[in-house]
Amino acid sequence: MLKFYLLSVLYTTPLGTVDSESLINSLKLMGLGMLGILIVMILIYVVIVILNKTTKDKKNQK
Amino acid sequence: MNELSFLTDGVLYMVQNPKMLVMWIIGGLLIWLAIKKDFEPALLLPMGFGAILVNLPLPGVIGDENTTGIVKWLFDVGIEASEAFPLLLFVGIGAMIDFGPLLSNPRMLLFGGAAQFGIFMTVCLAVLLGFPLADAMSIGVIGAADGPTSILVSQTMKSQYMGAIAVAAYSYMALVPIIQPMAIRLVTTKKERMIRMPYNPASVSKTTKILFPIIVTLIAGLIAPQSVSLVGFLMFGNLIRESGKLENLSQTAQGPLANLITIFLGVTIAFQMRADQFLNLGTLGVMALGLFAFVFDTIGGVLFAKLLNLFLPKDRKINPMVGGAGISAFPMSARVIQKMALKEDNQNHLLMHAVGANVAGQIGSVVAGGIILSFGSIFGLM
Repeated sequence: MLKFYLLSVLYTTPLGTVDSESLINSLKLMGLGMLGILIVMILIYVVIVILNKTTKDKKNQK
Repeated sequence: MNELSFLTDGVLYMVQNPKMLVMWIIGGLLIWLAIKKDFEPALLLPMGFGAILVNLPLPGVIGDENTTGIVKWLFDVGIEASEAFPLLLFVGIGAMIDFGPLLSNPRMLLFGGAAQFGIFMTVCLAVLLGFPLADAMSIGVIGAADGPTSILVSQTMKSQYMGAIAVAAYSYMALVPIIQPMAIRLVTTKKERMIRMPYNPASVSKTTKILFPIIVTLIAGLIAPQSVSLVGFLMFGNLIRESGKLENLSQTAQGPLANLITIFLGVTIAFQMRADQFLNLGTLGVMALGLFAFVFDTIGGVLFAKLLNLFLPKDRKINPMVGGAGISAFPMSARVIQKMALKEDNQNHLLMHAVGANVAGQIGSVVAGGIILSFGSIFGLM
């Protein structure tokens, strides 16, 4: 029953049919995708900060 | 006279398939844009010529049941079987990128993430327009402003619009100087565009420059495994550059390797520009959605900068235009931002900030491509 609901066709356009499952998945992709990118970028940011703090050239420190 | 019919077979075939003539015109248009308008000539010229090549009658460069044409072979080996062409191009691109401006000003990384917003907006819009989800996800990646990533994702997702996606990605990249100022003006005030940002970069050690590509590859491999081929090859190229020991290899990757792949990538992509496949309503939809993706990527980056400004002290405000540079079109986007900043205030130099955001955009776009592929696998589309 649930599967039937998820695959229900919402409307049809000249390019194809729009079903609720694809729509829900695209919205899920938007939310989780942006969250995923921001998490990766923040992780890389933290790595850069740590690298910059721990690997300063001796010449620069002087 | 029948013996001479081979002279007219091709002409008769063309008369029966007038769509091929339309593709000749499209191919000619791409060549014209490349030569006359300087629109990404390295890719659009081979693609334009390739579009003519693959729309010639009879077996030609495509082949038939008995023979394999050269363009089909290049596509099978270089793209379909292994995605080798776009990935090898990433080695060259990695060797070209100097991550220094980003490493010395790492907060710009956030814009490289925020400016991928248009990709996901476009996926939703494409689904609403009726594209199947796999095609919608491939179309969205046009917004990465990164040709090889667009090609790789559309191939991996087996999108039928791969040719149109590649044309859109490279065409709009060339149009960044027109698209971005328009989008930025739409969501910023003159006062915001005049915000000055002092540039005090932190010094970056050689060790950091060497460790950075290795650690980013590890992070990508652990968090978004589908992105590891994209990120890994990009970072491999960068490691060759930053090692300081492989100058010859670095120069080869930046020059001959990237050039060779570029020559054949364009012609190979044209395999997907056969008239029966290319000339349809979907192609028009792809072109329109590609533009939408570029505009909303820029707007995403700008709005994120405005959001950050709500929490930043007055003397540390970010010029929101810098957020718009978080796309992958490097260094074009950074130059556009610098030009816009100087237009508003001839003493406002944002170039280095914009370069940092722009370089972050290159990382962001491949991570976005990897995340799209991960979800493609989760949704059972691959």
